[in-house]
Parts: sequence; structure tokens; C-alpha cells
Amino acid sequence: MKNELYEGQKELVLARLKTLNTNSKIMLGGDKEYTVKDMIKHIEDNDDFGRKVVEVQIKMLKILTNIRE
Amino acid sequence: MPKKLLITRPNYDVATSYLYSFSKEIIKKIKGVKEIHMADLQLAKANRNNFTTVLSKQNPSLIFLNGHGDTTSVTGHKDESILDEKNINLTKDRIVYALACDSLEKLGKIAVTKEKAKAYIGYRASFMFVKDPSRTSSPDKDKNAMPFRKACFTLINSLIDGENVSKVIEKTKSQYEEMIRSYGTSEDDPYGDVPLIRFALAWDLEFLGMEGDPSVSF
Repeated sequence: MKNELYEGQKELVLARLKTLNTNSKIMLGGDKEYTVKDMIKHIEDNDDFGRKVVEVQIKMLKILTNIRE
Repeated sequence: MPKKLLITRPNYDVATSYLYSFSKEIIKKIKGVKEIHMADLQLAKANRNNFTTVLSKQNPSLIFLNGHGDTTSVTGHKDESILDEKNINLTKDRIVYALACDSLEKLGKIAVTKEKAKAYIGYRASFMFVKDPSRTSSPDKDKNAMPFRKACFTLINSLIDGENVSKVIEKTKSQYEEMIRSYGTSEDDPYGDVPLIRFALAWDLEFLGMEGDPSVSF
């Protein structure tokens, strides 16, 4: 069930990210940069960073829609 | 008896140039406050030797670090480690705020549990921000970085004003939330950066945290 929920969230986040300019970049303090394309790749690869991106995107959507956890 | 603060703020690459820019407002404020004595280790002065000397000679109760970080260190000028497991004992009885990636995850815990720092505020993952690529040589004028600058100022400003660590974190997190809700519209976002800015704000909101005693203040 938990896994199904995550898969659903992942699809939602990927769909949203794919509407953005895939070359737009986010800067990490360590002088690394991630493009939207990189984030999509990390999510599709199911790695730690990708999972964190999904988790934070869902929390952001909850804030934007006023859903309290 | 003035309160004492140590700040480190290197400026030698894109990321540190933004953090350096973010720090300017609080430096300006502190310079006008007689009750606070500040040791400002900026640019090449932000090195391990100066850091150690100031801590032992001036005994500041608040350390504000700006720089690169990982789970076990925070760096100064040109990536020199200025705080890590070898000298973390220097944080004893002090409040630390590290505006750096990852350091809360391990270093913050060690500072508090092993070396009895009063509190350690920082990020459990990378500190993220979004920049306008056309403004990297003038971060002071970068509108994309503005909300991150604002949140960073709120945190250190509340600490300087003497609010306790718990309140400082709560206030900064509320501001992150408020900016996620209200930041930008399509009219002032010609390059479509708003969704990314919101995401980076949500990321920083999620991973900002503290170790130690939430009731302590500067």
C-alpha cells in the first residue's frame, strides 16, 4: 500500500516536472547544480535524491493546497 | 558586557558569493548595535587558524558559519575545513548556526551530544537556492535569490534579537511556508523559474532543523 502510494506520488511529480523548462537549474550550496532533467532522472532511477525530491514536491503541494499533515 | 558573535563568510565561488551577499544585511545591522561585539572573518580571513584564535581569545557565544558543508564539516575560504570532528570541541557552551549543506546530519549531533554545544542549527541535506544565470556576477541584484536571502536573514536576525532557538526555527519555517504560497506570478516570471523557486523553498523548509536545547537564546 505504502509503495503504491509512493508510485502514485512519483507519477504526479514526474508529470509536473515534465511541464517545466527541463534546462532550468537549482543550485545546491555545494556549488552543484541540478537541472529539471537531472531531477527527473534521479526520480526515475529511484535513488535517494530522487525520493527526497518526490517527498518534498508532495509536501510543497500540500502547502499550496492548504492540506495540513 | 557585550554579547559576542563570530561570523565566517568566505566568497570565492558562485555558492559562497551568494551566501556572502545574503550576510550583508545582518552585518550592517550588527554594526549599528553597540551591545554586540562581532568578529567578522570574511573572505580569506575565514580560515581555520583565525577561527580557532577568535574562539579561544574572544569566547563568542554565537557562531554563524557561511560556507560549503557536508555531514561532517563546514568549510571556510577555498574549501578549508574550519569546523569538523577534530575541533568540534570548540562549540562547547555555544550556539552554532551553519548556513551550509548537510552539516546538521552528523556534525550538529556530535557538537551537541558529545561536546555539549548549547544548540546547533543547520540543514540535514543540501541548502538549495535558485539563481538567475544572468546575475551570478552580481548576486545582490538577483531576484530569484531574494526569497532565500529573506529566509536566511530572518533566521539570523531572530537569533541576534535574542529569540530562543525553537522560536527562531518556527519563525523561519513559517516564512518559508508563506513564501511557497505567495511567491511570484506568471507576469514576473518570464523564464518559468517560480515552480523551481517554490520547490527549493520547500526543500529548505523540510531540511532546516536543530539539535540541542530549543530554549536557549543568544
